Amino acid sequence: MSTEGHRPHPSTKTSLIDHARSLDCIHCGLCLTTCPTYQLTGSETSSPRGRIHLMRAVAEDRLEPDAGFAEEMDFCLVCRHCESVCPAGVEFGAMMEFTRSSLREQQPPGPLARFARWVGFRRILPSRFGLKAAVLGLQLGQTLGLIRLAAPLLGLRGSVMRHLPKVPPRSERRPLPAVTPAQGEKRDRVLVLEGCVMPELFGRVNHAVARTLSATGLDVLSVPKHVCCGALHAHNGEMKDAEELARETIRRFDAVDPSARIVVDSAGCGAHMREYGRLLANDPEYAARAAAFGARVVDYSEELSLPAARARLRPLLRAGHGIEGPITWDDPCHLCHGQGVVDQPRQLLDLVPGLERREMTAANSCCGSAGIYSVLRPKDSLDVLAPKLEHLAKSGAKTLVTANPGCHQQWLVGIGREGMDVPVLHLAEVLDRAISAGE
Amino acid sequence: MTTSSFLDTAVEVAEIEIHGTSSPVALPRTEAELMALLADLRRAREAGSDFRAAFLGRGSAIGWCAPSLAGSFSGGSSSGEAANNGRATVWISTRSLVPDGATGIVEYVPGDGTLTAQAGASIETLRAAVREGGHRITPAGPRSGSTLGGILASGISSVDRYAFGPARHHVLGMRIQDASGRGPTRTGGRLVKNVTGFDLHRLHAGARGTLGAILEASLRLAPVPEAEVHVTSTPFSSAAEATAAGLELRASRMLQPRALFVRDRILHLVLGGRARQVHVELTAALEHLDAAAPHHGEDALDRAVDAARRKSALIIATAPSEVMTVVEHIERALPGSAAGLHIEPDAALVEMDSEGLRASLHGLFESVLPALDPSAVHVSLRDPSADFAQLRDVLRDRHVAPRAASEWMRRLQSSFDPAGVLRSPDFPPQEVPAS
Amino acid sequence: MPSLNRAQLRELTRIVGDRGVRSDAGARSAYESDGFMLERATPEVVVLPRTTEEAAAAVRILRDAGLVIVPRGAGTGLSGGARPIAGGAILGTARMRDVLEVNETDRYARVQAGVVNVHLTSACASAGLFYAPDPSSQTACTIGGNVGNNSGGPHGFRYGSTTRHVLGLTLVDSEGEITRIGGPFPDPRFGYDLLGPLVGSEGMLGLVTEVTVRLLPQPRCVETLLCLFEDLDACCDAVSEMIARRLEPSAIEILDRLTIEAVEASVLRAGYPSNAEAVLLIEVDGGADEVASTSEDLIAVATEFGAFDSRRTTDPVERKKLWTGRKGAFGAMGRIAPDLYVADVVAPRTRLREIVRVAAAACEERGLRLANVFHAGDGNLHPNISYDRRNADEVRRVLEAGEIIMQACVDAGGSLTGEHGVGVEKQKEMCMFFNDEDLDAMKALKSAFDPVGFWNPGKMIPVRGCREIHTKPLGDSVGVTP
Repeated sequence: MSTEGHRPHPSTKTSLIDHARSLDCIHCGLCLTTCPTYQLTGSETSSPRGRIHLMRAVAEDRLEPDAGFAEEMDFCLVCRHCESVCPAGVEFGAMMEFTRSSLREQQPPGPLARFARWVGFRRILPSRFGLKAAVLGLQLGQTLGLIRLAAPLLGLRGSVMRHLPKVPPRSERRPLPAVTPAQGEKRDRVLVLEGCVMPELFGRVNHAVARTLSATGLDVLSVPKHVCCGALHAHNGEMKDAEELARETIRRFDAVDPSARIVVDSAGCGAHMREYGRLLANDPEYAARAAAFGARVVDYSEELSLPAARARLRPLLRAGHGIEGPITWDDPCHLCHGQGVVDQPRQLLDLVPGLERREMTAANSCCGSAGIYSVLRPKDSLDVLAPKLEHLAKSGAKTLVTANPGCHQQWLVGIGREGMDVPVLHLAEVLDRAISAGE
Repeated sequence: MTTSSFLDTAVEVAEIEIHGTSSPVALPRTEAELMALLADLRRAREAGSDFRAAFLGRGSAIGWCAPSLAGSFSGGSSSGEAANNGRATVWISTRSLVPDGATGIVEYVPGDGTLTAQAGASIETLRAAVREGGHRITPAGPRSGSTLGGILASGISSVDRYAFGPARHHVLGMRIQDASGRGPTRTGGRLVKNVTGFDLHRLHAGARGTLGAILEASLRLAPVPEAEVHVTSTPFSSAAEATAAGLELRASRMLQPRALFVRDRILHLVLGGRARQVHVELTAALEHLDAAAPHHGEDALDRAVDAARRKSALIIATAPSEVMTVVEHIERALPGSAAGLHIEPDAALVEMDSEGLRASLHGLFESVLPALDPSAVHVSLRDPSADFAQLRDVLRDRHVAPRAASEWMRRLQSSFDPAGVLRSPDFPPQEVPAS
Repeated sequence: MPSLNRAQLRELTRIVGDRGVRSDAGARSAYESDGFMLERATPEVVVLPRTTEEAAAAVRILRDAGLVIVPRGAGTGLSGGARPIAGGAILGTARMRDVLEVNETDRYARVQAGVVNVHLTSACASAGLFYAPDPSSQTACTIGGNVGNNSGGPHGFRYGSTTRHVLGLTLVDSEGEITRIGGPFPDPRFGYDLLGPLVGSEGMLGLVTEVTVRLLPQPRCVETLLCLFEDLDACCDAVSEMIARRLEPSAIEILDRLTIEAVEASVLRAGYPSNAEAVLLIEVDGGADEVASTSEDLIAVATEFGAFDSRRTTDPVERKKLWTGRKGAFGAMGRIAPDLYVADVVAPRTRLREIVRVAAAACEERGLRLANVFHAGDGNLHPNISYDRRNADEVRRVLEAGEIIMQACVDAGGSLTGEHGVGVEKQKEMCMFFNDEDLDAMKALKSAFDPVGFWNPGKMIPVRGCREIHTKPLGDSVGVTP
């Protein structure tokens, strides 16, 4: 029903909307309860169906795309939970990216916001130097107590900053070696995405990923000089940048190995990279290559769930890993809704001896992190997290496991605010510790 | 004042015994006659005659199941009674709308499991007819002596409510003759599922004819099960113990009884369904219960209905979790035996007959009523006898309904009967507004 | 058109909070229709209270402002009942979503009206109980909405529609007064059974803010059957025979090939076979032996009527998939065309095949695509007709086919709606089923609760008399807002 990836015409308001895609929705409403903003407000306007209704009304010239409209579009976390339950297969995430992108082009934000976005999207994210500089700034701020001082001035955003993680020591922030060689008999080789924020704040996760993959007999290749996949740009309507970063990613990865599977340990990046084919569909040079690239992308948990990997992994896992149970798995939206990966992480956790796993209510609902949403809309973000914290407390879990840097950070903030004592780990860290326990 | 004094229309009038008194009853033979009769009554009311009309089938429930109707014979004093009290009653029966020799069946569709019949049809005739097609009517009792319309209008349910719920859940639609001057109106349909229009039939079910006469009703029928068995326990040492056993069976969920009740000190259980299942459940039941030889066969439920037959003078309705407390209090107040007690643990009903009530009246005042929370336990008196006048007074003010609810009820009656031809129902006493 | 002044708007906001009042054009526009998309009208304001008391206070303000009220749950209704006719206020229960009490011993639950159907079921699961009505939209629709429409669902076959499960409710009336009716007890105590007419009253008598429902013990054993047929007629006849033999499963559903294809192409793919023209999806519950006996008999009937394969499963995961597919069938039709007309008619269960054929012929003659997915055991048919509402001629043809199907049902002794309600969709068609005097009796009920026409005006009861409507030619009575 939908026309793949056609570009909006910048002057008419009907071109704000991917109208063809909006027609897939027949208004049944089954998406309502999955939507974090509908849960929060009870307002149908702030539900997937409502937002599509608004888009359609704008496209059909029955509604002005005013500030209220833009606000409703920005309020969405693009968690894509609605896509998981939509019987009509409405591609909500794609529609929202389209609308946001058109809005940016037609109604550019004010100069200050534009500058902030320019710094964030052009200077920091795609540049290793920019990221390091930002982290250095954060570290400096933490060391000197500037954040603490600035927090009251920044209001709620400040209170979020107060809970920013300690910038990890340099040793954790070192990049992966070009090759982490397979342990034991070599089965295959894979590429890994190190990502933008991951090496700076969660470098230990990347190292755990490399160690565990290599332990199951894989040569793990990193991609030098690659920084950003462009997911955050796309989610926030910076489509031109997103497209350019996608092309760069494809070039750099293919230069290392044009056929190996690409293992991603950050759900948001994985979901986005899988869709490079759609993103670059109108680029004659890249369309086919991007589709093939997308098909090679696998989540870390998928890679280890392949029968050969599981067979090698299982005997390596030992009790005595020091992780306090029971644990619970929180589905990153872009893993379960964006990539349909639900069972694999749970099954992997269940392989670990001496670790009880409990299901948390609504594990597949959004934690409110949603890329940079938590920075742009801290109050809404924390409101979305609030019921999740209750579910976590009710589950009785002593450790929370997830697989996305944004979610990881969001949980740390929320758990910190509640004064709970629940460490947050990436799936790879759990497996890595269980392997180390046997060494 | 006699019935015929209001009537311009020639209508047959018969004498019928209502609670020991012989009373004249108008017997219209056609719906047109009934409409004309109601028009006469409306004119008479508008001209200032002070009477009320009431519908009945064969009159079997008058005085017991319809306390407001019984009121005029006993000088009853509940609030509904106040409106009717002392006034002449024009009795109108719908039974002669069924032509002589006819069954009153409008349509029985065995393949759809539905029955539509005239209100005046005799229940035993209907039961026999649907039995041929392997069906049953809910409620399973009364088995005879009543009309379909009478049963539905008085809101009677039977012990099969354990599995099937109250009778009103099985009414699919009705034709009604109200007192507004309109011709007969239809509500619902003859279908097992239908939400076309307001559900007025459920309003008329249990309204005791105070909103109009039921002319015809359609019912969803229940299949006669493949196997059925009536189990009776040996007498327990007290009704409370029998009730406890019943509650335990209910909570254990190992059985799916059609009926489960305590009569005197005996626990009755009807198991029915697929033969293999009934066999398994019977074995389980007998392991938990000292029982007499179970009775197998198609009449198992009927036997239970017969065993449960009663004229309840006092009905105590509560929640299952409160039943034990109520039974224990009553039993303590009852000198000697628990004779005449009828207890349905799931429907949370505790009922006693007139004799038991008379014997325990003192204890009821002294210890039972004060112990029962009016918001959780509802007590209603059904025996119209003057012996219980004082109890009636006490109970009258025990339960109140929200102001708006009783206002809606009054408005409903005046919507369907603007001239005030029909008797008033047992309107609940109104809550006094807080401010 | 009356609307709120600034002071009233401020007062409303004070009562229900910032998030409880939406008065900007964009926000209101999302409320211009529910699941019925053929017509729309935007409310003046949307009010979303959190409690009964807030709702009552809001009602008083709206009444003073001269606005009429349209109650709304999640807006998943399919008859246009939860959207305005013109202006007025939407009073939504979407923020009233607390399960107030689950009583295991007395087997009832007390919930706020905005509790989502499936959340109630999960809230009582740990007590070993369940709430029986399970409309296909149960993952989104609210208990209050279910009460308004007397909703059914597949398992209504055994357990009955919502009206059999409501024990009590709290109603806010046009005075803004709060009244509790019934309670967690099994029988009405005195006067009239007001719950009867209130359930299924489509929001025309007041706003239901709290509901007490009966809960049932979870069945000890559940088996799901899938019987595959080479043609739809035989499948319908098999159902008629199952009913005639008085077999008692808990649900009997029919899905035809087009529906199966749509579901299998969706995220809800259930593993329905691709080689069947029609399948029977049946559930049997109860004691293990009861389930086994009944399943065997059902399969025997299916086989006798030409089922070429029958599958059985008791695996909860597999069963859930089969049912999730069924319940998403309506939405999945979005893959076939942008819009879907969901008919909801009832036929006596002896005449299923006849009506299905009428529907097929009516659509074929008009070049329309028809998919069937319905509660066959209850005779509740849902012929689903795909269309594109931008095509005015197609819309006209769809409505024409819809009327023919309704008329055929009524002629066969059936009715206009089994569970979706009348709303605006079938208002004029009420005259196929009722005459003016029947409708007068309904107006009498309405005026007892709502003498001034404050609640959901312009729904269910035709505005003009039936005699007048009947003098118009058939096609003319179809109301279309292009």
